[in-house]
Amino acid sequence: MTPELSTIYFVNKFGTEKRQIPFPVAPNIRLMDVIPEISKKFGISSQNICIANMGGQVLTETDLLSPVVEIVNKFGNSFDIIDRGIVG
Amino acid sequence: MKLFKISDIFIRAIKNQAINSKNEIYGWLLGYERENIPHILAIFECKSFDHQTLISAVPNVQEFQELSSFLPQGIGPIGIYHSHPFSSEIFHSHTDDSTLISLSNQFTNCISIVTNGQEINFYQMGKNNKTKEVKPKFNQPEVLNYFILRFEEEVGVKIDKLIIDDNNDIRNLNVKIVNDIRDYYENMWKDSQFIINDKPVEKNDKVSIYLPKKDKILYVSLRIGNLNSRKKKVDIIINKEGKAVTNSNEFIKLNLKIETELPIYLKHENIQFEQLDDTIRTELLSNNILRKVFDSVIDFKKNQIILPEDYFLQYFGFLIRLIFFKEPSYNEHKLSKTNKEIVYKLISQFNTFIDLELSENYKDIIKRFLMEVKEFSSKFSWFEEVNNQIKFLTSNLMLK
Repeated sequence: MTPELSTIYFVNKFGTEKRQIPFPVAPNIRLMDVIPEISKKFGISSQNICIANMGGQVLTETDLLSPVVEIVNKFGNSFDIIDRGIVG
Repeated sequence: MKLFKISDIFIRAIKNQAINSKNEIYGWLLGYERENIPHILAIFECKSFDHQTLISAVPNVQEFQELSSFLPQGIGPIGIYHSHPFSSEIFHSHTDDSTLISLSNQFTNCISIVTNGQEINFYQMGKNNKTKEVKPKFNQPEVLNYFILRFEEEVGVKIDKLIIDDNNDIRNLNVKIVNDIRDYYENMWKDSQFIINDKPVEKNDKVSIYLPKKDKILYVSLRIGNLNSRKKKVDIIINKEGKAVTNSNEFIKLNLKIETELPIYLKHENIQFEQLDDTIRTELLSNNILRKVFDSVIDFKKNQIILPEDYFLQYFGFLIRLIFFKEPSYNEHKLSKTNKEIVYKLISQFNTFIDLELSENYKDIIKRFLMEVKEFSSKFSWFEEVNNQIKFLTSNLMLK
């Protein structure tokens, strides 16, 4: 049976207005697997993209490898999408 | 050549930061866009880096998150600046190009400023992902008009007793409440209604018809759900995962009082309320209510979820928002450390202006901001440290 989709919310804060995108996702999928899609939706380069919870805690690689349901229970269902903005 | 507007004081400040650093400096340009022209109202120097050398800079992610969280809707980070120390020629590197492409996908007219401390160049993304130089127009852009959105609601949060008894669940209780409140308001949002002077507003009404005369502020209230019901209080049930609550004895009820006001800056005054729907929803839910619930204090003795309150400061003429608890012990427990770091970063922004000649207008703007920071800091145990720094700045910036 296909698990019910959960909705997680990504908020981009670069630009004059913060924008949130609801993202329906299967609870057993890893967050890592949806990052390329998120990256495309916000237009952020995949090397620059970073995900943080509401308290500003940046999700680690281990977190990103966990199923969405675990991440939502631990960090909440709302995440900030941040462009690292690397310069050289 | 395309234009953008910025006050020359910020150009001098950016150069000054670059001259005084052996490593690359980095910062954000804060402002708005009108008729396709970016207007820079302020700069914010990055103080915390993941990586910072002579040839590269990676700002700390949390620094950007904090900055963007306290900015209002309508005014935000619309560009970046950095330095190439000791470089004789100003250029936009391959890495800088990649970042500008990425940032321009998020904000089309993103500006990138590069300096070596002496010379300074301004870039934007052109056609075919190639950078092009843009020209600054040096003036002090006007701050946009805004209205204040008000939202008040009493929520009964019913929590399954099994959650309270479970050590793992209780640790993440704030997160559980955030998730359920989010789901509730997202579901109810379609039934939202703007109200001005106790009268409902049509969503296709232009904001301009309600804007009062200069120096007066428009307050717009928002109701979500229950539009025709007299029931003022809503109930949200937090279930133990996989288990439905059926008996009223199986949960405890906490009261959550939401009272918030937030500024919405208008890119143009002919905008309709319905065009602001997503803007307001994002700000109210993601950046305000849920952030506060995340940082809330749950008092089981008083059966209350206590939210921090908003505190507004005028940063270069526009409103930024910090949060605090009225009860000092909650502040010390929850928000003191974060607020201390934010306040230090905010006031240290003005160190870079010490060597520069400031107009009386900018002196007034900075003086007002420092007074507001002083008032805010008085709620915390670190007040004296900040006050000493404010005295230092007041004296060295010659603010009378």
